[in-house]
Amino acid sequence: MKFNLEMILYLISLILFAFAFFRMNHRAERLGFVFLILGLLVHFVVFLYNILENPTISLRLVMFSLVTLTGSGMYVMMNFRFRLSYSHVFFVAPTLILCLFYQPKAGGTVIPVAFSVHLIHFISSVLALSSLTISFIAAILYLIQHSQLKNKTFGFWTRRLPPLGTLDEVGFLATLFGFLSLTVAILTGGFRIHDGQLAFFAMGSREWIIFAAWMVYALYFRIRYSVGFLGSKLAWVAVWCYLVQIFALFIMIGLHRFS
Amino acid sequence: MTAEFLVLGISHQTADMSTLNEVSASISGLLDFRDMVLGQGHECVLVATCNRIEFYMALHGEGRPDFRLSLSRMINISQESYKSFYMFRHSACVQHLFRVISSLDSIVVGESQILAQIRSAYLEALQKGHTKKYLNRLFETAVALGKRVRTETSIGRGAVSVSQAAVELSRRVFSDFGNTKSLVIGAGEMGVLALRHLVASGFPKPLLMNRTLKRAVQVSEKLSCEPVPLENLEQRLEDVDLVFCAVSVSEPLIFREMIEKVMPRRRYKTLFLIDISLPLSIDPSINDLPSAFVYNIQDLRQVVDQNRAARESQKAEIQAIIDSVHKDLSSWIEIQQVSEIIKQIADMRTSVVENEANRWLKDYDTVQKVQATRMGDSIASKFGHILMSLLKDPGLSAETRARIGERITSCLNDN
Repeated sequence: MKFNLEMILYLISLILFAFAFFRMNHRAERLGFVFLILGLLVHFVVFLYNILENPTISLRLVMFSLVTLTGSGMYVMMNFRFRLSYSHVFFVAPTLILCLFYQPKAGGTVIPVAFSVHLIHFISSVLALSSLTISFIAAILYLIQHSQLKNKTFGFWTRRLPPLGTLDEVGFLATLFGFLSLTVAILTGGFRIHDGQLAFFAMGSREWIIFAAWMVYALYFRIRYSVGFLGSKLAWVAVWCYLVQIFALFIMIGLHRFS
Repeated sequence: MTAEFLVLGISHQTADMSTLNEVSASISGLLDFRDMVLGQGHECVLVATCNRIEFYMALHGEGRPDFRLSLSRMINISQESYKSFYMFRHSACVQHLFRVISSLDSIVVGESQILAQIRSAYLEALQKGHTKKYLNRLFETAVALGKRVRTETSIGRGAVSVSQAAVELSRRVFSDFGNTKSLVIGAGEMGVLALRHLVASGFPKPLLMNRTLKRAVQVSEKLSCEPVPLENLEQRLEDVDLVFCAVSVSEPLIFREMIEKVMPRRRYKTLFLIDISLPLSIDPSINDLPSAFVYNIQDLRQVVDQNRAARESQKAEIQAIIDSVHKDLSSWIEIQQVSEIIKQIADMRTSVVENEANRWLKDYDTVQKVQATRMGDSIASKFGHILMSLLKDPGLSAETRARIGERITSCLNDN
């Protein structure tokens, strides 16, 4: 694991958020945000410097770095609008851990990406992954809180997790943004294949799985606008769609056709 | 001599409500007693709440009259009530105030009112000049402790009444009360109490439904709510998010089929139903429907019991904070004790040097006299410093320090 200043700042913020969650401590929560924002600033500057200094940097490293930046940045912005109780550790941890533990081994370089339609595909994919991660966490927390309230078990989780309404709003917003970004990513990916002398829809199994998830998300919004709010059922949809995409992107073996 | 803290009082722990009422009714007697204490040159703060009446005193000088007897005479109470008064001195008094302000001594552990009540009693005494150095320090420390206890522990968290618990549970469901529509069914005592809680928590103008609309209208004139007829219940359930039911009915007022019918029209928006009626007025099986939550009085009591238990479990942690603050206050009191002796030594030193200079340096000119006096002062100062170091020794117990102090004072007075 490679440690640098932003990683240390992120780690401190994670520890403070975890402490705030267990002890329901506002002071630790506020301090955690200070370290998170500091980490994001340092990370942003270092990220820009690395790109300018070494444009042949691994594309995967850039991607994971960007996911952390956008995911945590989006979450910090959401906090201006929503009161997310003591649950920050759950929202911030996945993206930060991703950044902390991901060791890039191979991948393309930034140069070819910067001057093609692939740049839009790349950015929209990063945005989709970040916001769908937030949507996934919000859905998981929603399901926990929902089950606690349905089963009338008022304990550790009920007191610490945000209200169902807040989790639903956060989840919905993040899913909507993620869905729009994913739409752009799939379209621009398709164009890239087309540019590469392949048929427009010559997608591999990995891409088809993501496309299937996109269709389920579309159905999610259709149900939400026609039938109405279906709380836990839609939360389950968000959870499964995200897990399927993670499986397709990071666990399935094979070449990504859009790259 | 330093001051001695003393508390004389009566509370729900030692007396029943009738005795407390009897004592609090004799306001003039209580004030006379306070004036008597102040007249004797002591400091005094009167804390009077619905559950306790206490005089906190810092006694200066010698001679301690029987305050309990004086008070019982002034407020003219029975022999039985007299026995209900308690009196704590020194550390016990400080511990008592700290426990009271931390709400460990309250009927409901963790209640926040006592902190505000003690603070305002102290500020009133301070404004009137009834307190000086010692009680100021005691009460400032106590108020800071009260705040600290509520910030650092969760003693004040969690509802301890059924209506409060209902509102607290609503906070786990709705993100913003300002956009949450609420309906209270029943304009009886519990219904009105719930209505008060909802209004105080920020629900915008709750609807109030009652069997007789006239009663609902009467309540709406006093509280910010909108009276609606009971016949429109099903229609209203399409709009509202929170329903609070406190009625006495033989059959459920809100049943499963009704909610099943209403839910699609509500677009499956979350519906939170609270039933504090006995027998139940909301079908509990509604809880199985998606987006609907039903809580009855037993569930709310469970919440209340858990909260009470959680507050009780904080007692040991709070006592540890109290002990640490008490230790700091005791050190301050000891320093006051030492500083008074030190001041006496310093005064005595000056006068001894002057006397000795006048006695031995008669034939010296002014310059030589000043120089010799300075030298004498310097020597005396060095001896004084040794004495002060001995007195400030942290290894000394308070009693030993007081004894040494008294001995030094008497020696100085003899000379």
